[in-house]
Formats: sequence, structure tokens, C-alpha cells
Amino acid sequence: MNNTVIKTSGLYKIYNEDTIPVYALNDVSIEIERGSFIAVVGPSGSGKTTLLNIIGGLDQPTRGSVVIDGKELAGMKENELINFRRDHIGFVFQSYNLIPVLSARENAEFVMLLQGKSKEERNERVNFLLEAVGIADKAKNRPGELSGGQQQRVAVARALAPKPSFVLADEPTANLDSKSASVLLDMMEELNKEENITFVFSTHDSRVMERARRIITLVDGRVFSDELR
Amino acid sequence: MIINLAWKNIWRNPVRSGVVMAAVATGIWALMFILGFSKGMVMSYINVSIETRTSHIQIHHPEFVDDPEVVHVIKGLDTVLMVMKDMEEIRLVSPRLITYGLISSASGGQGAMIKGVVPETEAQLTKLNDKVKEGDYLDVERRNAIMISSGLAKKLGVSLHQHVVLSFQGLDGDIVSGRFRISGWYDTGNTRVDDAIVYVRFQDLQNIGEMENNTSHEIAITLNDIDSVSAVKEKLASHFPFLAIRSFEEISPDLAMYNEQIKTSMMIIIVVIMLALLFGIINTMLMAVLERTKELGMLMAIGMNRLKLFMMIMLESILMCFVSVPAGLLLGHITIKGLSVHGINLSEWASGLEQFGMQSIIRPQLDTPVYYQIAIALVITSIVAGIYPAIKAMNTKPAEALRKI
Repeated sequence: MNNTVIKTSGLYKIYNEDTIPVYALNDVSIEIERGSFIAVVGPSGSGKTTLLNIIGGLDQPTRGSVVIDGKELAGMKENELINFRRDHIGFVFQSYNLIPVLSARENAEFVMLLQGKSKEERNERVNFLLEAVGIADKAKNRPGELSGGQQQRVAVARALAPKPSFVLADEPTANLDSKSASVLLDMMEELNKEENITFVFSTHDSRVMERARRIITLVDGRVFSDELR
Repeated sequence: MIINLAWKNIWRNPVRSGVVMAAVATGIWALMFILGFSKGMVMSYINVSIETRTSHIQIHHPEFVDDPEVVHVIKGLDTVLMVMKDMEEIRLVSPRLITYGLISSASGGQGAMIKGVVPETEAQLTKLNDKVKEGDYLDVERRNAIMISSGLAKKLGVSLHQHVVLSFQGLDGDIVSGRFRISGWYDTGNTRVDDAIVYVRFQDLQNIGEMENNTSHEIAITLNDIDSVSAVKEKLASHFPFLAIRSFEEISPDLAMYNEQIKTSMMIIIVVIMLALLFGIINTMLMAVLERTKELGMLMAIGMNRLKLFMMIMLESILMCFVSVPAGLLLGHITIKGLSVHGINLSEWASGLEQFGMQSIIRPQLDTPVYYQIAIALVITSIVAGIYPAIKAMNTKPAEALRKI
């Protein structure tokens, strides 16, 4: 099995290309291997979120290609892309973005429901994940009844439920206090090491950078540095 | 899963959803009340008309319909009545003699329709005896009794128990006259019609007009059930192909026209109410979609496809109606049932209503199919109302939506 899970080649994202072009991404070529724990860092407006959106299939590049698990995203139709995201990519957002009317358990199993997984399969996976993220005792609580850190842990459980190829986490600790952030990062690091789950962070947070084993720095849409630690 | 989520989404903002559902339920209730009241008015008009004018069915000599000459009689009256006696759908039958002539007194005269009726059957069929406002009905012992309206009496300058003379064309074409004693004033509420009709006894008119025995100009029939009019009419037509047998709608096309007019007005009201509900639901659903843009973007990001998203919003719109429609129908049903028993008392406007041929107590009523029609119309409205917000949701661009605060 190919060990490269994400590969971007000559990736450009240009706004106002015909007038005054603004390069959100400028010739970004990176490869990310399975089991990585990577932070994409850079100042505001450097293109971190744009890169994650394009890797996650949420946005289209102006030029260049994105290959996930050996599949080129560019040729995919809308529904094909949505299904691909559902099955291959886990998302963790800065503001958690849980479904407020569903419980923690229901949120965690939501993507598996979209996949049409059986009840037994869902129960087994969700029980394991809620336990893994330390939120099993809050399974019946709705997001509004959970703290920010707890909500983000539910978001991680939701992202991991469909057994994705990797998890894209956009500023996952930005809204958390240091203790919650630390607990969340411990848990993600553990899942990365024990389950070999790939995590790609976009972050400003030094706590995330400290734990990342590879840091890609973007400046003005270009890869400024790419260092292994 | 989608139904479950849609259902929970409705209760995300219980006040807003509750207000929409209450509006839909109230709309249904109002619609049912208006429809029920209108139907009650139509039925009141039709019932009064059937009772006082047309009956359910009338039989005439075919030529009498267009040319009400005294010679155009139904012959073999006994045989016709005998056949009808065996038909269980028929409740009452009353034969009549009808002619046109002059009613005169010492101080004046006026043209009038002279109706010769059998007092006993007419009392049952048209409740003519109940219309007597002063004096006696025609069932008095004395010969040649006549009932006229008080308005006509005023014009003729006569009072109760005084005499008037009726002159009309006899069977042989000669003018015949008879002296009649006023037994009472009658009043059906329709002054214009009352002043143009006088009632005498069948036998008296037959004698004075020297008409043949066993004949009549008109046979009025009432049935046990108004819905059997067509069937009975067909049956009678097969028995008496040589006679003109007409239903109340054929005799009085204004009834059908009035019914149609009311139906048209009701359709307009239904459309207006449905449009109001439609835009109310669209507004609410649109708000619900717009304030959830980020969440919809997230749902698409994590793998909910556009069709499922579309279905979710559509279901939210439909489910709101599934709650409010039964509530509105139940509320409307209770109101209609209650009012159909007690009636809506409009006696303050009784004289005006009577002029229009209506009773002063209107009993709202609704046929069962109307309930289904309202429910179906509301489901269609909720589907239509959901389409635009659902399309709006479906067109969410996840990357843009997720950037929203």
C-alpha cells in the first residue's frame, strides 16, 4: 500500500486572476505520509485554511492537483466528492461545528449514518471513540451542555468515526483554554500513535507546533519551510 | 436519520416553529369555519327554496313548463300518486292546480298566480300552515277559503274574513270567477313573491275552474335524502316518460348558480389563505436555513450530499404541517360540529336574510371530502413552501459557509 496519503503538486489558488491577482496559494507541492502529525503554520492570510480546504475537497484550486489515497480530486463530480470526503477525510473545525440538536453520541455517529453503516457497527465504533476521547459519560448530552473542550473531543470522535485516511483540523485549539487544549492534543497524539491516524493541523498555537513532528510554514501562499522534528 | 434530524431541527427554535404551526392551524380553522359557514348558508338557501318553492322534484305536463296554460294538466293523477306511494325514497307528495288570474276587491284588483293546494299535504310539504301570520290556514270548514299576503291585502284594501273575487281562464277558455273568503295572511319572508301568489284549496279551484277530476298541473315531491334526487328523477322518468320531471336545480337554476358562486368565492378565499400560509412558511424556513448556513456547510463538508440536504429542509417544512394540520382540522371540526348543533344566530338580520330566502339560524357544515382536500392542499403548500429554502440550502458552498461567523 502506498504510504503517501496526501500529495499536492503545483497548487495555486488565485483570486481576481484577470484583474489584480491575489495568490492565496502559490505553487504548493507537498506530500504527507500516513501516520503523520503535521502542523501547517504561518501568519494570518498565509493560505493555511485555503490549503486545508483544497486538500479537504471543500474548495477547488485554480491550478495544480490534489491526490488523496491515490485519487485525483480534480476530476470528481460534486456528489462523488462529497462521498469521498465522507469516507476518506475527517474534519475538526475551530468552532467545533457540532449539530446542536443531536447528542454527543448522535453527533459522533452521524457520518457513519450517512455511510449507511449498521447499528452494531456504529455502536461498536462510537463506544470505542467516545471512550478514547474521554467523553463516554457525556454521550447523551447535547453540545450546549458540554464545555468547549468536550465539544471539540466530540468533534474529533465524529471525524474519526468513519475511519478516514486523515483528519484535517483547522485551528482546533483556538477556542480552548490551555488545559482543554492540552487534553485534546494528548488524546489526538495518542490516537495518532496507537491507531496510526494522520492528523494535519492548521494552527497558530505554539502548543500544537510543539507536538507536531513536521511543520510546514506558509508565507504569502508559498511553502516557506518544511521541517521534520 | 434525515427525518429524525429534520424533526429535531424544527424544535431548535420552538417559539418560531410554534408560531408558524399555530398560524397554519389557525389558518385551517379559519378556512374550515368560512367554508362551513358558506356551506351552511348555501344549504339554508337551498333548503328554504326546496321547502317553500321547488320541493326536490316537480312533475308537470311537458308543455306546462314553457306555457303554463290551464289546459296543460297531468292526467291520471291517481295512478301517478299510486306509483309514487310505493317508492320508499319519496317522503311527501302534494298535487297542485296552478293558474294565473285576477284577484279583485271592492277597491281594486291585481294579477296573481293562483295555487290550488291540498291543505293537509301542503302543510307537511311546504309548512304553509306555519307561514300564516294572522287568521286561519286553508283547513277551515267553510268553502272557498283563500290565503293572501298582508301586502296584497293592503293593496286590495281588504281585511280578514272579507271577500275577494278570483277571475281566471277556465278549461274551456272562458273566464270564470269565484268568490273567496280571506281565511288568513301568510308571510314567507319574501314579500315580492308573497304578493304575487294566492293560495286556495285544490278542490275549490277545481270546481270553479270546471277542471277535470283526477288531474293536476303540478306534483311537488320531497325525498328523504337530497342526494337521491337524480336517482328518483330517473326512476320517475322511466315510469312516466310522457311527463316533465325536473329536479330543484332544473326548476330553479339560481340555486345551482348561487352554489357555484359561493364555490368560486371559497376557492378565492382558499387560495388567499394558502398563499398567506405559503409565504409564512417560506419566510420561516428561509430564516431557519440562513441562520444555519455554517452548519449546512459543515454537513456538506462531512459528507451529507445535496439531495439529503434538500430532503432535510423539505421534511422540516412538511413535518411542521404534519403537526399543525391535524391540530387545525381538529379545532375546525370541533367548531363546525358545535355550531352545526347550536347554529349561528343571525336573527338580528332575520328580515334581510328572509328576503334572500335564508333562515336566520345558519348551521355550518362541511362534507368529509373537504377535510381531505384541506389536508392535501396544506401538504402541497408545505412542499411548495419548502422548495425555495431547500434549494437555497442545497446551493450552500461548504468552504464559504464554514468561514461565516
